[in-house]
Amino acid sequence: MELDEKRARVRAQVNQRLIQSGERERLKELLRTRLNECGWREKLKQHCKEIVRQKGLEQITVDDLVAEITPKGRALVPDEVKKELLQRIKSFLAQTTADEK
Amino acid sequence: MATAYTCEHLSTQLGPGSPGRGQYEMLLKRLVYPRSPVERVLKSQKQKCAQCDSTARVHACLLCVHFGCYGNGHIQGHVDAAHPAGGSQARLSVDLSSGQVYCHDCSDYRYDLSLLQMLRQCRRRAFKSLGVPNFFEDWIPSEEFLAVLAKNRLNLRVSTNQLLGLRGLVNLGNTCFMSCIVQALVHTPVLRDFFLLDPHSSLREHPALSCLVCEFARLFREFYSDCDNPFVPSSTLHLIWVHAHHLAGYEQQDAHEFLMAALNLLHQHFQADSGSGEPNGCTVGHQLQLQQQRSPCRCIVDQVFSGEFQSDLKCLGCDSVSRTIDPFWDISLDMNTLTSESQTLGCSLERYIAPEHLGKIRCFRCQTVQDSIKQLTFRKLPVVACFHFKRFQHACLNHRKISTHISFPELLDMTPFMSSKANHDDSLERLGKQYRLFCVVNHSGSLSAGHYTCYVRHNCNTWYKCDDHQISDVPVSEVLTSEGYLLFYHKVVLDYHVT
Repeated sequence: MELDEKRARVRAQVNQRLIQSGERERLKELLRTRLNECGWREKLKQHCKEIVRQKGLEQITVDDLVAEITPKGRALVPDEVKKELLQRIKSFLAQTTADEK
Repeated sequence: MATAYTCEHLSTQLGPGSPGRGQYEMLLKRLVYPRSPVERVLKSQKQKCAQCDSTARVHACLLCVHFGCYGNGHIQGHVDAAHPAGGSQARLSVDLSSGQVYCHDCSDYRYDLSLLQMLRQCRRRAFKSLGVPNFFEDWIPSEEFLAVLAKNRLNLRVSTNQLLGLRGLVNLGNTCFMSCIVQALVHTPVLRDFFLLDPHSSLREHPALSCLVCEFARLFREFYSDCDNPFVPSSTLHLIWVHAHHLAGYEQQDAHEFLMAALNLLHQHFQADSGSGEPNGCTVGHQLQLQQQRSPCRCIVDQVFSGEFQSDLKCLGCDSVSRTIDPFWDISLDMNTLTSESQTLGCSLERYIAPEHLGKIRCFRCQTVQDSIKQLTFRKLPVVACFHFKRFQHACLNHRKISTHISFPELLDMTPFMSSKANHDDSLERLGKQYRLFCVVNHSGSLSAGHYTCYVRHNCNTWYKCDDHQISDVPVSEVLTSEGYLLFYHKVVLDYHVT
């Protein structure tokens, strides 16, 4: 329990730092660009269209779409994109702790 | 816009000029897309669920000041409890991560074109303040564009098993050494993408261009044109003769030497471009000397072929290690002359990085003459790894070719040969060291009378044999059992350049 609490606290702190510096928005934009470049966005868009076709435009809700595409979306993220973002976050954290010191 | 997107709750509450719209706009500017550091700090503090402290998909209630998360149902719970249905006001909340509006009466997100445009504007201003020059936006085609599209409905489908990109090369007299290298380079995926997209433009209209970059751009265009009869590479050959005298003449030359000369020329011509003032233009033709020292630059040759060796010299007296880092464009491997058994690429690489005992050397650190050990490892891997087996022995008057068969894999893992042993268990790290074979250049016959042919991988999975002007499809087993003189491997995963 203690470890989970500590993790949650660290996560919240990191998130705060990311939002305050604006880095979170920059990282989101980088992620968006990469996912677009590798065709992820297109693939999921096609998938969404399929779901809407099946369920019908009048009945479909955002929750339906989110539930359907989340697992597929997560699985389709290329490893090199994960790697790049991880590196960016790491270097951001290293840089901000260095600044604080 | 279709009515499935909006609802009357949204259009009344957030209609143009309504107080609700002003409130929404303020939320956008302050909490969804803040523009100043102070506002960003505020966002990081406020964007939290009142009930569970979650920061994921937090909504702001538009009827009071309350923040609740969506995932655990807290914002829905709040709105139902504090603002029950049936009241005069619409029950809406805003997702602080995207700015979208959720209607609690319709139980779904609802959209309005004018609100989306407002959102788009706020987003643009926020990115400007963050210093992000290029950001992604959904493309909304203009009326003009839609009209053009409606008039031109022709669709073209490019099938995946096309032969586009395959073309034979006419032998101009013992030029098979050149044909193979041209085939190899044309089938290098990253090079192909670069040359087909490259805006490298020629300022000279004169046909006798002396820029090899232009010539290669032309080669790529020829290979990817509709034409499938063999191409005559006379201008390529002429250019090479002009710039690399040692390769001129009608004798058979070494394919590896040709490859190095071609890469060197391309590298120089790129450098000359960047120094001429015109970023993508040609230099006025003049002969360039083959440089002894190559300085790595950002040209495509360095980006694709350039890797780094790490050479460690360890003094056995004081244990100090002197390290040098050298760039390389290819990896030349010795043949094991002690055995006539079949060898493998893996063994050759192991021998390459094996520590070597050198004789007595004066150590710079302890200033004594000691035994030392030298070891060569791979420090940085290139996008394309070219392995060259030293089959041609030119020792004094003894010229011979070592024809021992070398077995090589289709998939190569370079992890065991790296300088740094750290992160070997990290699967993402290992990804960057995986290679896939895409071209094999073979020499058949003897040193004095020989012929070069090559195998190229086309369209991901099919292999073709290129024998001058003859192209034939072959099974991959034939490729992997061939003798192997030059092997071209391509990284499976390309890393983005860390800026």
